[in-house]
Amino acid sequence: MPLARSLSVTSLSGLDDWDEEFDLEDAVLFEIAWEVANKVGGIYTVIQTKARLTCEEWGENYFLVGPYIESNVRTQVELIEPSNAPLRRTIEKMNSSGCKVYFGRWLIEGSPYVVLIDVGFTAWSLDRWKSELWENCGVGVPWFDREANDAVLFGFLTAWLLGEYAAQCDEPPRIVAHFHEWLAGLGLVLCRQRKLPVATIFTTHATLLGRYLCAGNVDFYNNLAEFNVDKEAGDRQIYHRYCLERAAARCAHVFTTVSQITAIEAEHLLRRKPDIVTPNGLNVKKFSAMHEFQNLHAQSKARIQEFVRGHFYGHLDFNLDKTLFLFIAGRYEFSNKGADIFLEALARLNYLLRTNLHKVLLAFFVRGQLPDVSKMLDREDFTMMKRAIFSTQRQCQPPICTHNMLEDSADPILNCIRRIGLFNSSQDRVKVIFHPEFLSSTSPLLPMDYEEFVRGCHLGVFPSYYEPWGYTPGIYILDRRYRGIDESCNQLTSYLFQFCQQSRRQRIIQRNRTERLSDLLDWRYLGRYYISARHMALAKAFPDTYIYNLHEPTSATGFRYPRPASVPPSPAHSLHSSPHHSEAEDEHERYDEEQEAEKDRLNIRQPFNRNKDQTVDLPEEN
Amino acid sequence: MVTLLVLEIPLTFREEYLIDLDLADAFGDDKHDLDLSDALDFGGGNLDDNDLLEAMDGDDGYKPDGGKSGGGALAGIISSVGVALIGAASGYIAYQKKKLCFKIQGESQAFVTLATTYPYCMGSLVLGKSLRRHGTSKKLVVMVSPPKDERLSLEDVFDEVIMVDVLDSRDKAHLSWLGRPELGVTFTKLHCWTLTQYSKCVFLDADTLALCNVDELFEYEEFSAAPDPGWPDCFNSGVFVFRPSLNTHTKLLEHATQHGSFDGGDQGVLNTFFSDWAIKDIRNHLPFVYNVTASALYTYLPAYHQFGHQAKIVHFLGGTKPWHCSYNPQAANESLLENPNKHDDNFINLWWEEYYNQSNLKKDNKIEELSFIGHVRPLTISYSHTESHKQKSSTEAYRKEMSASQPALDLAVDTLDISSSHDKISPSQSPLALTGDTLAISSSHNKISPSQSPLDPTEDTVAISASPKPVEMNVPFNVLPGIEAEWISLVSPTSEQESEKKGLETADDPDTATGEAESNTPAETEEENLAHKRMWEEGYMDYMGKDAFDNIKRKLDRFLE
Repeated sequence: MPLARSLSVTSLSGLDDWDEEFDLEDAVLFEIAWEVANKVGGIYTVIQTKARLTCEEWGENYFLVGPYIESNVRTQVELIEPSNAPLRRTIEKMNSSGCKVYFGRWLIEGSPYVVLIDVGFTAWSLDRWKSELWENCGVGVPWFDREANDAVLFGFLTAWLLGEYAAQCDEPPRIVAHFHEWLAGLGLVLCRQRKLPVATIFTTHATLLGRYLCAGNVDFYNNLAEFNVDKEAGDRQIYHRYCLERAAARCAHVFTTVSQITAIEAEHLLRRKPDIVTPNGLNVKKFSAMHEFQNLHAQSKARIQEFVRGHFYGHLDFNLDKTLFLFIAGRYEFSNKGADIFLEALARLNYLLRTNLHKVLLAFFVRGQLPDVSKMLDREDFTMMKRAIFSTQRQCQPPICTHNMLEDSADPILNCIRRIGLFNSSQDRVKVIFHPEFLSSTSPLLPMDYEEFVRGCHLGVFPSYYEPWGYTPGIYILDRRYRGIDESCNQLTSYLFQFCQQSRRQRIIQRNRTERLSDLLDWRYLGRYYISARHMALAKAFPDTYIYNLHEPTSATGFRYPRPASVPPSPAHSLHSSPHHSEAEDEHERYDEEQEAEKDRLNIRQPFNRNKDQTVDLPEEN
Repeated sequence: MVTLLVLEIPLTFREEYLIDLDLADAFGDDKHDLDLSDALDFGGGNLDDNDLLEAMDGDDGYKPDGGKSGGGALAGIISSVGVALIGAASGYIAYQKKKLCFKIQGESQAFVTLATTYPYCMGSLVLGKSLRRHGTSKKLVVMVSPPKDERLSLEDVFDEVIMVDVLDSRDKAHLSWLGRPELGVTFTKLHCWTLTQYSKCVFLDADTLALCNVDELFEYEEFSAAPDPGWPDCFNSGVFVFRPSLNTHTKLLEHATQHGSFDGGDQGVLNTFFSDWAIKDIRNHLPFVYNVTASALYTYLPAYHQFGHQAKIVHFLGGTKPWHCSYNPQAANESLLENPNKHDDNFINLWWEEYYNQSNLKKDNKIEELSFIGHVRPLTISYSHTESHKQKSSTEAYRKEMSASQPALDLAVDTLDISSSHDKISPSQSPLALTGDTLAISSSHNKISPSQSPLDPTEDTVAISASPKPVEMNVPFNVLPGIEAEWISLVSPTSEQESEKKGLETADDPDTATGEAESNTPAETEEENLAHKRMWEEGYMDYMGKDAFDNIKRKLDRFLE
């Protein structure tokens, strides 16, 4: 059963009734995740950016629960005395029973309260708790899996915290506990097993098994229904983790995933259909004027151009001002992150451009912004390379890679480039630069931060195979399900080709429209799905107190806004029948931002104000 | 005739042994131990104490009879004379068996390590693997302190897993001075001198890692060690060569009691005990490459650059151990390139590589044979109280034997804990004692047994001990007639045995039976339940069978309304 084609947030079902009258007076919210004040992966960003909104909603009754890690606490947390009396008693009680629990404010936007638990300190209980887990759930945890053992400790400690809190409250409390990811999931299972008065939510951002299966080059999305999940997890030696994850999904009052695609994944791999999709949002930074980011783009682009001039020194036979900069970035996962598809598409595009258009396209391969990982080359190489690039006139073709790579013959990207023959020759319309190092503003070669670099480019391409969050919502969307690699490549090639054909003006329109649509990715909007999930959980756990009317999403209640310019591939006005048109790069063409924005405003209806005034402005623009 | 003798005498001996253990709880009973061992010496002068113990083991199965005949307590001296008699009587047969079961003569040298906590178990495992991988020809022995089930995996790598009591130095003032209170347990290290089945040993701390074959260490004599980088006139006790000797052991304990330890740990004791190490004989100074400490590298970096590649054993000294550091293989490669000065990290990465190294390092099959003896041994201790207890133990013995006969299930062995919990002596017992070659167990947690003077296991003296196998086979016959058929069927692990076994236990052991009745999974006995859990903890879930998530779901659904 193929889904609706578009899988980004655009396909979210509408939730028109937001239960504004839901009374949360005496309720408290605990949000529990291993990445609270502890950056390991992406969940940290989700929780950190969402905190401000949740704080506004719950105020003093919102507590994040995470692991105590000293180095993190030193830099991110201000330890204070808990103001909430039952919680203070809870922490005191736990600390007098052999735990180490800390309370403080997380120094991020919204300054939420955090309860941090030192799991290592209670490691002495591990055997006992593992036995209890075994007795109650029939799940054992191998001694050698440290992460899973931490999950056991963390799970039992969070359940202890919640149970103790419930016991310390004078009135029967209304507790919502929101658990993220399998590492925190055991706490949820224990809450249910101990029948604590807690409304539980479990959110999975990506399933464990999905991650493993995709990394293992299985045709994942086309076989979702066919996997024998127990076997796949067992064969990959993550069975116990998978059991913990699936148990949490099973036990939760409300189970959520972060995107429609993960919802399908969860339905097949965790065997529970999510009750609601709670997409991850961003705190979109607003520029006061539209030209502000255009200036930033111009500045960054100039620096990239400067670098390119150096890189192609002696071979600069193309007009840099008319060159489009594309990039792909990410961890070093060749096919999971889609570098294979991108390269293949570039090779095809190279052919297309050579025959049809005379525009040059420069594709960058850079590594993402994780700054802490060490470099791949030493100083000496660096100097040699600089010398090579900046001071010698080569007779040979300009290099692809900015660095001398160790085991250059084993590098999948370089090998692929060799195979498809993108060698930056003067006939090639597509030039490739591979920057295998993390971008940094202190690099002597390309002194830019990742963010600046992104600004300077024209288009980012992320054809990842496994991107469960949909965290990089794009304007062209490549659905890689139900089709082979070749088909996907063709589609990507055609998108890229269309993009190349656009005039500057069209690109600006497209870009600004994207910016306007970004409101839909803001937590201010997406946070509502979390709210809804909490209400749903409260109503399930405390049916006498709370009622939640589940709104069957219908196509009519969803919000509507025009598809981005290129989905379906290119609206009529951005397509030009003649390539000469865009070749001309009509710089003089007038672009009236106000006029364009107005058009979009008319087209984009604000879903949450739909019964009110129709002529709404975006809130941040007031 | 012979069997009868074996039966009777060691039992009486055991009574004695029990008394002694009780006394051992009080401080300063070393003297007592010594007296007793002297007495035994007198009786069976050239007996191997291990052999003696085996003879005792042999009669485990005899409990019902043994209980009667051994009822009266005999004096230790008499018992030892008796043992000597048996030795004379059963010499030849036993010797033949011994030849089959033991190869002590050729293997009298061993690497010894110590694991007192779970992380150190990991450390010792990695050390053991590194030694194996570099093709050591020596035995590998690990001493562990009670009881932590994870340790069972140690047997995959070590020839001998020996339980020892944590001998805490209880010298808190000194310890806190050093800021490392966990060091107290390393006092247990001194127990390595009781491993008298080996003529010479090399002790390696569990936080060391062999980088190449270091068998040549056995060319050094007691007491050889490498200088401590902090105070080179002292040796570092992380790596040292010694000769096991009960005599030395006793002296060491006395010394420790009298003088304490100037640093609160074993290194202080050993350095004052072998106080002339620094000046006596340069041949007792191990080259530093056998005990390279990371901290030293920072203090003398040029030396490290010059000689670092010669390092043979690296010692992760200090509070941060490799297992405290995270490991990322890719980052490991990169960090190596990025900063060749971070040798500490390099060694840590080596450690982790060894940790993840999956290569099959199992020791040879000899263990399978030896396990017959090993599995029965711990029962010698639980042999003390009322008739009913004995009855129970006999059941346990039977179960143990079953586990022993199933290689795949030998994890189940620790169910013994249950039975021994009735027993005062139980702390010194452990699941570990059951598997593998446990020859030395008794000598380590019981101060009497090594009563024989430093021994030289010649073939004559060995003779006595070797009767276990046939005896064992008799056990089920004597205790529970008609079981032999089952015994045989149990050799191959099938699930059919469960019901039979259950029936058997119900008849024999009311406690277990009621426990089962309460359990929700009547198909699984308490013992099997533990074995089942253990399988998970070792990473062997039956995910296509009984551990399928559907079954887990059923368990969850019980509390989800």
